[in-house]
Amino acid sequence: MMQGQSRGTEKALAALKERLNRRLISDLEVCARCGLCADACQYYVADPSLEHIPAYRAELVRRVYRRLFDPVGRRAGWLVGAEDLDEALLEQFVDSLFGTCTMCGRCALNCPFGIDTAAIVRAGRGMLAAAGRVPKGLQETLDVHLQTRNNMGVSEEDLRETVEWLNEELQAELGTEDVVIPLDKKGAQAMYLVNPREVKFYPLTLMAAAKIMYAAGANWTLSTAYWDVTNYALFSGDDEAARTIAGWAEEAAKALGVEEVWMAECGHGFNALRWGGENWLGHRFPFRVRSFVEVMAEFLREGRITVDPTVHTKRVTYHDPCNQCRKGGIVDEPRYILSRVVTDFVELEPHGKENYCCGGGGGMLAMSEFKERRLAAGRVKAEQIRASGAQVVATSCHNCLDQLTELSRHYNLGVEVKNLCELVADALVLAPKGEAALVSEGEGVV
Amino acid sequence: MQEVSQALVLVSAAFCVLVLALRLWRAFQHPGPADLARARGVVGRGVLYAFTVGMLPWEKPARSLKFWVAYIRGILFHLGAFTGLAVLALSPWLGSFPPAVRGVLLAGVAVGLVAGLAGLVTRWADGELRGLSVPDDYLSLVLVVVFLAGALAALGEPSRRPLFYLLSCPMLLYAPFSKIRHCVYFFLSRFYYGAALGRSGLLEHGVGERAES
Repeated sequence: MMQGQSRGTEKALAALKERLNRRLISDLEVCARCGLCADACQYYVADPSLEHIPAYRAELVRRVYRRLFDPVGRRAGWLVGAEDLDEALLEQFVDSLFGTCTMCGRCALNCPFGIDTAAIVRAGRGMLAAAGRVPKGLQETLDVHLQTRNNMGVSEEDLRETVEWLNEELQAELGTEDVVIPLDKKGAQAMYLVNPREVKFYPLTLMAAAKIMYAAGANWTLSTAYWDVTNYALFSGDDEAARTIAGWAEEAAKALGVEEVWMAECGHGFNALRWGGENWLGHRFPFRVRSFVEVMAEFLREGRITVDPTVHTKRVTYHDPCNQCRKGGIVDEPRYILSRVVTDFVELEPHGKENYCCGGGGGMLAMSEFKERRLAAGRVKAEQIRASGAQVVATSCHNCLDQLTELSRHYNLGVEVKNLCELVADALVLAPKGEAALVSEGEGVV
Repeated sequence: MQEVSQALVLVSAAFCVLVLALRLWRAFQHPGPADLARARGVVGRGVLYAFTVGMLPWEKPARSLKFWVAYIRGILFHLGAFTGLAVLALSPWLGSFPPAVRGVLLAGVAVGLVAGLAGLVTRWADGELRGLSVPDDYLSLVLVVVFLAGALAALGEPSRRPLFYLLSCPMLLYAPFSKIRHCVYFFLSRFYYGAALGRSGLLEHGVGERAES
């Protein structure tokens, strides 16, 4: 062990070496420290300072990389900005990589080289995970997930009870016993992964999704073996944990023989399984992974559900979750859905791939020590919302939903924040008892 | 003097290319980024975008004047640097260039030189940029500016070529170890950026213009 190094720093360095690939190396080598990334970051826009420039965060990892791999960095670190990793630098890593970045990826768009600073930040977080330095709240969320197969420790009994209760509610509301949330239905077309907070605190969101799937006549199921849509290892940087969680989803889907996995509205969960899962596991899934946003858009497009937009007459805007939009390519679907279920839609400016992060990404909501910064960075989003004049902010991510709700209170925006599926479910036009799920189109019905 | 300086610059250039190639070769000893997930869009389209339209300043989300000034200054500086390299490569025939061609090259190098000097001043004067900088940032910039000054001198009077060669050597020898090496990593980073962008389908659906997906 070199002077200044501890067991933690040794593990962190090993983690960095392990995850080096061509893109990461290139992104670590190429930065010219031009600072053009600054304007893209909501932390910098809200509070312009050196520490909020994306290149500054990435530079922390680069300093260590150069000490290890750069010939000049090894011999004359002062010249190129190379540094040994010690406990003090690890502390700086924690504060900067966890505390001032949501890994939203907006800075990559601005960068003349297209540097994926979010990936560098994740590599740095992976080093911290190896050193056991992930902030407590985020690590606990992940630990509970790894211990209980869902991030809120919901037991199978609790899940079954919630589903039974929701079935009763659904049947009472829709006036038919045909509507149920299927559990472990072999041969279903799709397995639905749900956010544990829906099961524990917001069952009406799961109920809304179930209602939509009933109306569409979808052949779907929940798996009691594995049903959690989240994967906080994406944020902690722990690839091993990420692989384990993705593997559970794959096992459950394979056991049920489904063709597709539908992900409840969850930005990071979608990014993790859709874009990361197969890479972590090292093989392709024998099923397709889709966001429920894509599925709802398809139901509407194919006429499998009928909706009445006049139930939503307030002005609605849409916040693109970074993990679903900029990193996942889902931009048109939510807008198509909203064009069908609300009467007054207005865009945030900017939006789509250029949309600002709300500040709730990167696991920020699980790290209470950074709450003040999270809300300060959220000012950019708050101003966007205020300028839009919207009364309702729709989104398709639970972390975004929580952050936007908190921003509304903190900045007195006075907006309601809703998931897309809630808006769709409320607009559904269902058949009277005993008839097919759909009704013919009527006035105001599209 | 002419022969000695020419030999020196040739050796320096060969060294620069060799070390840069070696660095790239080492990077290629590592695996490429995994991409097993089913593509939503076209990878090639993303790569094409990354090297063309995606480089234009109005394709960037930043809108501030500071960004625009810095971005355009960067473009001019790099145009100047590449013009300077072209002048170096063609220097044995510099005397036989038509005046108009020399004039265009001279203008390109001069603009690059001014942009380089402006970059140097900005890097020092802007507190945030200064905080982000390491000594290599200044040294690299100074060496390129000196190289451009040499190119300018040679373009003005071809008999000053030995001076140009001698001023080029430090930059060429230092480049593979400095941030100047971004001239080769640029292509790798931009390629992977474009590939990821293309794979995600964001180019086809990036602004939510189309209601149907």
